[in-house]
Amino acid sequence: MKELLIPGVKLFTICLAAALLLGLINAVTKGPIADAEKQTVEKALKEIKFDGERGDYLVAPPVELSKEIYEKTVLANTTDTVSKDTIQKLYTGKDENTVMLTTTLTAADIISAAAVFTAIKEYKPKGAVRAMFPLKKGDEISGFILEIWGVGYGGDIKMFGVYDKDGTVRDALILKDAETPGLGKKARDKGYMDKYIGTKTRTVPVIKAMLDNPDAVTGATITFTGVGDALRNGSRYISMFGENNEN
Amino acid sequence: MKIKEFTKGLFRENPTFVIMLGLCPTLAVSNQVVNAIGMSAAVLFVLLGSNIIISLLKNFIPDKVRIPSYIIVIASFVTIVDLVMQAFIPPLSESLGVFVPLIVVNCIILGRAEGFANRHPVSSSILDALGMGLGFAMGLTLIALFREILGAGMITLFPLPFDFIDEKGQIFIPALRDAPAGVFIAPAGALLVIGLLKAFFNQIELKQEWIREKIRRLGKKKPFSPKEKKGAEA
Repeated sequence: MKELLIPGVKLFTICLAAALLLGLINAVTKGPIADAEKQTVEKALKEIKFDGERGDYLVAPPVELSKEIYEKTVLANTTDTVSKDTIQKLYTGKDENTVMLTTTLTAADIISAAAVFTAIKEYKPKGAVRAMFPLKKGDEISGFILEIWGVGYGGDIKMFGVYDKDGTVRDALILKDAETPGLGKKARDKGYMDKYIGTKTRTVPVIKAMLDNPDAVTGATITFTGVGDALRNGSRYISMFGENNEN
Repeated sequence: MKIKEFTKGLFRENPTFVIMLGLCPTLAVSNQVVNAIGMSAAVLFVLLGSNIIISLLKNFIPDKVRIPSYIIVIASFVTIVDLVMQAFIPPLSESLGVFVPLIVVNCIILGRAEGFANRHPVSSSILDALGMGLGFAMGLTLIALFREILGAGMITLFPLPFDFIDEKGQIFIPALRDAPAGVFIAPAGALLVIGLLKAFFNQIELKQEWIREKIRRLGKKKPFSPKEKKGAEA
């Protein structure tokens, strides 16, 4: 008994000391880590080109949501009835386990839904489009900056895409990636995003054949497809409630 | 305390080219010089910390649970490095990605804990960690230099106040920048470079051995035989 107990107690002591030390380090670094993330976003917002006045950060309402999250996270944490109504009006059941955004939406609808999602602290956005900054010209919404996520060669790619109201790509920028230096990392170079500008939904290039100069992305095809897919998803997201659907 | 504990890690028992430990992260992060330096610094810190703690606790840790105890000590230091990097050097943390948490299973560190720190005093363990850490840094940086120069036509360092380094800390190599051999940046290139460098160092080692033997033979004035060599080494 003693033979087992002593090693156990000693191992526990080591674990306890390690846990306490890490708790302390976490407390010290938590602030700077959050600041560093904020700084990356602020820097990107300064670099990216867009027209109009930028609105606040909003969590993008997901196109599809599992019923469980919809009920237990979204509806359960929305206490005021107006917000609840907004959400219930915009989401309809797709099948037994999923709800989805209705297809006829106005930009105003999506922004009010985004405000509700932003207020729910328990909701962690997933999927291709995770956040948005509405762009306004006067009182009218002129476009959006979307936080979009794609999958590259080395892992997830986090991007900002600037879109017109109809889903046309106006500018794009990578915030975070794990692409190979010298190959996929070139997606961060100046001019890389030019091939996507002016495209929308189906015309956003996602395969090399859609490019005028396919050699430009040779050696980093997966990065190119990842970036293209992310931008295309963003464009599709906007065109759900873009100008075409507004009337 | 012997200085030999420090120097052995640099050349004679270099972790990358002689013992060939920790090759996984070596392959993965040697695509840019800055990554190699960052990874080396992280490994050096973890190695130093774990060697000190394990050497201090060598009489406290029961033999039965020594491996889990070492892993806890190592994992704690790795978590510290990871959090500090995320907080204060986010670009480096981003480019090293998953390989920082993976230092936990880097066999150099567990190897030194099990093979050295748990049976030597703290002072020797510190020297061992410094030697092995710097040996790893030298190996990794050398591989990264070859890979980045040949594969991307550039060297990425930190932003430094020199004319030949731009504001992102990059040095471009004119001819190679336009037509780099991309394979060196890809994982296959890492294996190629490591293999060629290992062959090069083996060649030097053989040559040195040959010279040593020649000197010895001249001294003894006796013809050299393989048997004699074996005896001399033992």
